[in-house]
Amino acid sequence: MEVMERRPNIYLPQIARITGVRDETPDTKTFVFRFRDDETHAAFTWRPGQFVELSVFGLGEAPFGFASSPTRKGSFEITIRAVGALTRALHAMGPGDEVGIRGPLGNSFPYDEVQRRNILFIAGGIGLPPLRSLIQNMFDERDKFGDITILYGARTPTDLVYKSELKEWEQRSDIKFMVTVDRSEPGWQGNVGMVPTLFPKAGVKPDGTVAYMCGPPVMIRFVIQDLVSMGFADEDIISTLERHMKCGVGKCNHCCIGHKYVCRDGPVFSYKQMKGLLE
Amino acid sequence: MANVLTTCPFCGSGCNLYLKVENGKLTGVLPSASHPVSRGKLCIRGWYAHEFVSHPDRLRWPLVKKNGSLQRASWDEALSLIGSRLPRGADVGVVGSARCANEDNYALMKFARAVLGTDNVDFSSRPQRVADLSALGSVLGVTCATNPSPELTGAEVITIVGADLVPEITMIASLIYEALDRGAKLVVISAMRTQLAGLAEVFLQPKPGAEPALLCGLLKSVVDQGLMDSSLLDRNWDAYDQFVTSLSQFSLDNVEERTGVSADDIARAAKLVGGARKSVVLYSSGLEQHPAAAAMTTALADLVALTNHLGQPSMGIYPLARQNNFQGALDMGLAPGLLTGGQSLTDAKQKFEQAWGCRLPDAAGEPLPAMLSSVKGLYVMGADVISGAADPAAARRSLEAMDLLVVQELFMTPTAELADVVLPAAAYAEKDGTATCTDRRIQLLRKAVDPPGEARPDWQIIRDLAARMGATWRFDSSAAIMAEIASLTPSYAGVTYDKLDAGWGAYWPSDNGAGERLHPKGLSLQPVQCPGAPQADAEHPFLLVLDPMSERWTTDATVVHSDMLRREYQIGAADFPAGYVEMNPEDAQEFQLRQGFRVKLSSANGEAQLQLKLSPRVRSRTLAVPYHLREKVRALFGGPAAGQVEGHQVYPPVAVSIAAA
Amino acid sequence: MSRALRLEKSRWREWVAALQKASTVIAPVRLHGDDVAFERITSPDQITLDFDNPQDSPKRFLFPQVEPMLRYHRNGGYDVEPLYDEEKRVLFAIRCCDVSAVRFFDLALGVPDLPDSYYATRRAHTAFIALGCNAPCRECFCVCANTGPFLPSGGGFDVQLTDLGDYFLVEVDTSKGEELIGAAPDLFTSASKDDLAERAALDKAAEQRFPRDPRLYFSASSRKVSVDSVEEDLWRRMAEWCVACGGCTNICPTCYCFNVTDAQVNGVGVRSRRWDSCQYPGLTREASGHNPRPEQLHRLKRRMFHKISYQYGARDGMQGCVGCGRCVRVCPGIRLGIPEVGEAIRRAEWK
Repeated sequence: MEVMERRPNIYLPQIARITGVRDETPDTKTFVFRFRDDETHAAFTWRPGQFVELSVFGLGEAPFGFASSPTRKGSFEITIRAVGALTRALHAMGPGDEVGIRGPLGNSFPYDEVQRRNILFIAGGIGLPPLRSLIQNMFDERDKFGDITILYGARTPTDLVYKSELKEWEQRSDIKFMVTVDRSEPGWQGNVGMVPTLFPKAGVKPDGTVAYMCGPPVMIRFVIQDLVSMGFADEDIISTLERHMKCGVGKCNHCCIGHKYVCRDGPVFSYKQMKGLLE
Repeated sequence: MANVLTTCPFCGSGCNLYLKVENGKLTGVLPSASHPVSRGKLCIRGWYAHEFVSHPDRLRWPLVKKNGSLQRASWDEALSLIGSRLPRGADVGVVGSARCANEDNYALMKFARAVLGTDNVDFSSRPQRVADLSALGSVLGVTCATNPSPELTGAEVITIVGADLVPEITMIASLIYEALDRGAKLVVISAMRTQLAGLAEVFLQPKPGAEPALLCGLLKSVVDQGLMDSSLLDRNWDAYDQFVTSLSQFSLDNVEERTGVSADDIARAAKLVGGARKSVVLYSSGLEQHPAAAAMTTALADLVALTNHLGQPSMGIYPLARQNNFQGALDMGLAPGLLTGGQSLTDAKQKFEQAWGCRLPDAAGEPLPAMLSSVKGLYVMGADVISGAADPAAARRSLEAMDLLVVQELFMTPTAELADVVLPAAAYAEKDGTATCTDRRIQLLRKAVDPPGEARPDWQIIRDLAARMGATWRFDSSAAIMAEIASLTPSYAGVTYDKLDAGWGAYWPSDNGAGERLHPKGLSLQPVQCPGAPQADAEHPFLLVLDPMSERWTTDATVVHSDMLRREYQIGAADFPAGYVEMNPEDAQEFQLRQGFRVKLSSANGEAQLQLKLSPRVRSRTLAVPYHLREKVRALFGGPAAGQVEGHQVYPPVAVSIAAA
Repeated sequence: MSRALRLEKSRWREWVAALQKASTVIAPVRLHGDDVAFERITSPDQITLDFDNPQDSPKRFLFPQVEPMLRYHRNGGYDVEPLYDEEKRVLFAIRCCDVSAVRFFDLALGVPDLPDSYYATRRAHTAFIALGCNAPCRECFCVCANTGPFLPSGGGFDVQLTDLGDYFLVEVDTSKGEELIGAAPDLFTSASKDDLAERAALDKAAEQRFPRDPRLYFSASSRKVSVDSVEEDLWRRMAEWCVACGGCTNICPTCYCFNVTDAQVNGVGVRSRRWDSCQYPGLTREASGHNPRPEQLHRLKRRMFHKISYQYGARDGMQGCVGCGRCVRVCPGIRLGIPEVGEAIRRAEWK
């Protein structure tokens, strides 16, 4: 056996600083990051759908998807809900604080291969952030794609993320954007109902369309059923799968589904690929 | 990398494993292949036996309470304080450990009797075993396993009563799996459907509280089918007559109504158990908290005596210990009125006084938990008195009221948090010593790494404390302590570290002509009892039990401070943070309740709320709450008087109703 | 293979002593009773060659049970530093199944596009002297996995020893192997053609000594596992014999599930990894409480899939099971070693 050279260490995080924090909902914040080292930052890029392993030093690491587009290079953004010790610690941090970043990891949403096609985005709750990376990217290269429709739903108006950006999307004339909530709140004038209730209003059709979706597993299951019965091809339905993850680089075996690794062969999978997975 | 052979610190199976040591740190574990119990295998606890030892939260230096908080102190200050403030005589109590080494426990009990002049000596796992062990003793004349555990592999019929061996005492389960692989048949008698119940030839799942009636039925069936040992009938026994009379009051005609188990199934079990020559009975924690533990154990001991399954290989009865050194703690005399090796204070007082050169207390002292309310000072070694108490709130109140509480520990447990002085102790991997596992095998602990900070072996701390208080013991090593134990204890006579090292430990009694097997000579069948059991009714259609077998290791300090074990053992707590009650899925469907629902439980005494966990292991019309969650359902049970056995709080099944909250 | 040499049996300890000058030698040592495990030796006299296969595999030295990965501390901002183990080691007298396990690890962990730096570092500093098996042990089945009793050139060893009675045949396969010979070149003479012929005969004879037992051949079960055609009830009944100890994965020379945790040690943060197991529910349990492998039967199925499926064989370039037989010996439930489970799958039967 030949001697193995030491290649870059796949487990070694780079140091990044928080440059901004925005409150999205009572339990969700968007963090803006920039690598401490300028060269590292300049060389860093990613594709929508990919993720990073973020270290809160002293506590551990967790995977988070990119929420901003690689076309906007000054920084990268991640939107995080506080659910456990690590995310709560992160929520207590602010500009200037340091974290570790390993990435970009995983595969990405189909992009080049869907040029000139119509694009349908379906997002539920905390599923919007990873799709936002792709949405912003497509906005920045708008003329490469056909019709773009974005359907977004959350439990309540308070739970909507990117509230001010959503207003910008509403103003755009080159896309169709609709938002809904499961439960209304005083002052809400918009749609009420689960995301699939928007389909007829939005005139969703399978013709020449690729659908990207992200959200709670229950929502995804129902949405996929609806799209399939509408005539969408299995390979044109794109989503992400989640599993408990540790190393993020296909070594520790926590995230396997059969012989596929969500961190390497995913997290983006088409419905056709999902059907072929053996648990 | 060095491999240091030692004995596993978790359950009573007594496995041996090699601790891997590199650069003075523990880096892993390897089972011993030629050890007769481990046979190259370990359970998950054994595979991670190295983790808790190096946890950052290990206590490193003495702590003394100043201005309401525990602060670092020197050994000198800590021991001086104890020496001057610890009460003596009847005002002080000493609590030892089923997890520490024999030498630690012996030093502690000597400290109590010789220096403090008190016989208020106990260890926190003992109260729940008093009933069953004395019942065992009254029939068989012994209060321990009669046979070595490796022989289980040769048994033809194995009867498991009140034990969930796979998660609790795993290597004993493995010996049973080996027996099964060779064609042995299992009879399982348990309120919960355990993993081994799934492989049983006969599984009897009685209604809660009806276990004594079931065992009476089993005995009756053995007698009816003529399966007693014929040589017994040749003896002229008054005891036999009394036994038969007590049994005759019991009828198999209504046993199904009484127990929920059919007479046919009981007959099948009796035929198996009584019909085979190599037939073995094991029981464990299912009897620990049981109000009728004495009655159940009497029946089991009678069964073994009746069928004369004693004195030969692959027979006998095993009162299994869940802790690695429960047997050793008993052997070291950590009980009021008891000195080492089962010698009573009264019988052996003179011998010990002569050897120790001092007077011993005249009369037996107070046991746990009574001790906690009668003493003003308490010395606790390696025991979380609060978490282990049947009534943790009462234990906590008693400890808070102490004038002086000293706790010697590995970690800051709930008990240690209340202490006035905390002393950091060395873990099993950090000292030499011995431990006696559940089948009376005495085995070595070997030091693999140094203790953290200023932590020291328990026996050394006590020796030095005793020295400050005027006693001069010549304990310069743990081997020297064993030499003293051996000199005073007939059953441990001749035990030396060299002897233990030459093979795989040694069984006691070392002077036993029959080797490791005990052939109890003092057989005396006891009359059976069938105490009444609480019944459900229309308003309260379920019987709720506290399940002592469930998730037993969940809150143990050595599990909690091990990354892997904590992750695996606390899944229940993570899935149900508010605590849970287990219900049969069919019952749940009938009552329109679903997994995770918050449910309200109501008894005639009070109410409680928990989350619902569906579990096929629970009998129909039974609800089970894990024993470690007992405080959440305290209100459902009657007051302390409702369930006391030998001064120890037990929780009889209680009739409840259940509804979505 | 570059060349074949002879080493007098009476002199192999001298060779070990010479090797010790430049490397730590790790070899089988008799512990208590009949236990044999790999240990760092200080003297060649500690080594025993009287064993079937040491209980512990060389995995310990290439992929330890606990392994620090990196250290970080605050120095104004954070400094992160990887921790490598660069000790030079020689693993002496490892069996061919275990050598094949190293080759598997090279494929699974050392894979060029995403090499595991810690494994790669240890691996680069370790040399392997294999000892072929003249006779199989009771539990092993390398014939099924094509990993023994002897290995051909390129099989992964640096040197392979064959016991030919009064002397060892010494097959040197790599430049690292040449370095090992170079530690004491005067101990070695050339092997003859007869020596090589005898070695070939021994290989055949050893293979013949494996019992004609269908449990030793799991190719039929590989197919069923790969297409998921095993009845769930069969998995369930087998899982009744599982106590979820994780012993099979811990002792297996090709298992490498691991968990990563951070801890503070003396004010410095250390990230380490430790062995994990697909047999533990916690491996896949998600923060929400959902577990895609909720019961032991699912986890048993997972283990077999990872070890003997075609999909993994293709993904890794080699089958995961090397037939060492350790899982047979380590299982508290007695029956859940690969051979018996494989046979149950083949026959769709479990008594």
